Amino acid sequence: MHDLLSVIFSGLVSGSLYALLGLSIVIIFRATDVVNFAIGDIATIGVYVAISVISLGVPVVAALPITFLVAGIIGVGVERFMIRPLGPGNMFSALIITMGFGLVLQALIGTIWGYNPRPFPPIIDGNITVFGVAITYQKLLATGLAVVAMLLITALFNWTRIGLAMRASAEDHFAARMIGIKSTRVASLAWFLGCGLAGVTAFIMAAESSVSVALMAMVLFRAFAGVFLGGLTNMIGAAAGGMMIGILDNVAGSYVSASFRDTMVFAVIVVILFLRPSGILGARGGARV
Amino acid sequence: MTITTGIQDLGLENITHRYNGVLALNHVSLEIEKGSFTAILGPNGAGKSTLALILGGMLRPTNGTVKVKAADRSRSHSGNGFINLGVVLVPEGRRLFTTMNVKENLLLGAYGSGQSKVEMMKSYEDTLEFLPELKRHLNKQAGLLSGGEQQMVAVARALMARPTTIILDEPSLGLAPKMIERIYEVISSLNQRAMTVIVIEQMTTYALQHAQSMIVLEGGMIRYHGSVTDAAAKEALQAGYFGTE
Ligand SMILES: Nc1ncnc2c1ncn2[C@@H]1O[C@H](COP(=O)(O)OP(=O)(O)O)[C@@H](O)[C@H]1O
Ligand SMILES: [Mg+2]
Repeated sequence: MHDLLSVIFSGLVSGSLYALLGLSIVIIFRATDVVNFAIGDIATIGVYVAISVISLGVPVVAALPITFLVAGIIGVGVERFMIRPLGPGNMFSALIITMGFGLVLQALIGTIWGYNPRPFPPIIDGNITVFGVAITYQKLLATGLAVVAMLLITALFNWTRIGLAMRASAEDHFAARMIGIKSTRVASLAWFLGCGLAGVTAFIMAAESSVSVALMAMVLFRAFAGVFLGGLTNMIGAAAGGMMIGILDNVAGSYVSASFRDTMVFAVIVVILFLRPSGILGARGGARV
Repeated sequence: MTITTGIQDLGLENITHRYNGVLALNHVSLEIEKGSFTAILGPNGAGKSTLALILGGMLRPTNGTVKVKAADRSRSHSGNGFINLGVVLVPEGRRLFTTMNVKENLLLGAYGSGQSKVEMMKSYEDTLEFLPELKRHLNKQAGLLSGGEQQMVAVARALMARPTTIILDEPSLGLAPKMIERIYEVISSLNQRAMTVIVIEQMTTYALQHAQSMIVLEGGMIRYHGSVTDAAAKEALQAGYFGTE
């Protein structure tokens, strides 16, 4: 039992990252009906820029907000110049565009920074034992950062004017326009926040390992799994889904086989989507259009 | 025929609207006088909701001129309608933010009119004073209220913008008679406070008890526009375009 507890705990630690990235995906989807497949690559560019500024002598801590800003601004640009011109109701084209743009970004990263993994300076050393698991301060900090980011988002969406406007717009685009909410402003902010937060996720990932073009592949896969679990339109669902995937992933890795982790995660998504196509907490049917 | 002694609030000139070829409004011209109470009546599919959206600036007509307070607004299309000009729409089906609570719905109503935080709280207090029955629902999710309560919230949300003109599309639809009476009491009292009121209804009974002028719309065209008390009004109503129930 003690063993299971520790497996669950480390699941929550990695799950917090999937939750944060899942939240980023959902924020963008709710505002603009676009599943942004380029989000991982936009975030990765942010981290590469961070590596470059760190090598210029900027402290690692200051590189985090830079990553957030770079990824956020690229996100705003993508929405403004690639998604918005498509007009409303072009979900499929938007999807293809983000996929294509992701590939372009990967090529760009390879051209500028090369394809070999780059080291990333650790933020903090040492470790601590929680529930019998030796956990690095680094990982704890990462989890803390992810949780704080999620709390800030919660506060923004519940207690600020613009957050309220974003929720209104997500629920009913027409009614939001009617009461005077600028849909373009909501879209820009959502892409800024979504991509910026993805940049934070990428930064945390980078600090734990090294940086390569494929930095986000594993997290993104799991974040999407969490989002499908929780529903594309539900912010709490996406975060909870990410946590669940983190636990599941660790349980599968510890009790079944480490090489079956991806398969297990994937199998769960398939089963859930089969039972509840809109996710466990997602809106049923075409309730929001 | 039309009484236009006062100042024009809203004006449509030769409005035609087609949805992908389907004709919804056919050369409609009308003037809404400032401070008036107008009922726009007509059967299902007459083009009433299309007219409501155009009057509220939420839909740009295929052809024709839309005037708000005598200025041509046919070309302006911010996507936000005429809310910043003081014209609010309570649309068909109310379109409340059903997952949000009543307080949030009301506060959202003030977004489009450029109010400061202080002004917004003042509007909020005034609105609740005007519609005290909403006070006990403030923390309830809007989607869980009864139809009548939701209609009240929709009116309250519109009032939060401090409008000069309010357009209501079928406010009585699906409500119990008692609730309809209360809604009309509220609407009339707004009109008595100098607000221009346009009520769109398929069921004529209640609207005609309160409105001064009426427009009968049928097949996308205006069949009658004049005072509710004219002899011609009776004729228009009896012409069999729609029932009274
Ligand atoms: N979004 C739309 N797309 C296509 N046709 C529409 C649309 N909205 C309304 N119509 C058509 O336009 C006509 C007028 O509709 P509407 O304005 O809703 O009438 P009313 O509100 O009087 O029932 C109807 O024939 C209706 O089918
Ligand atoms: Mg209608």
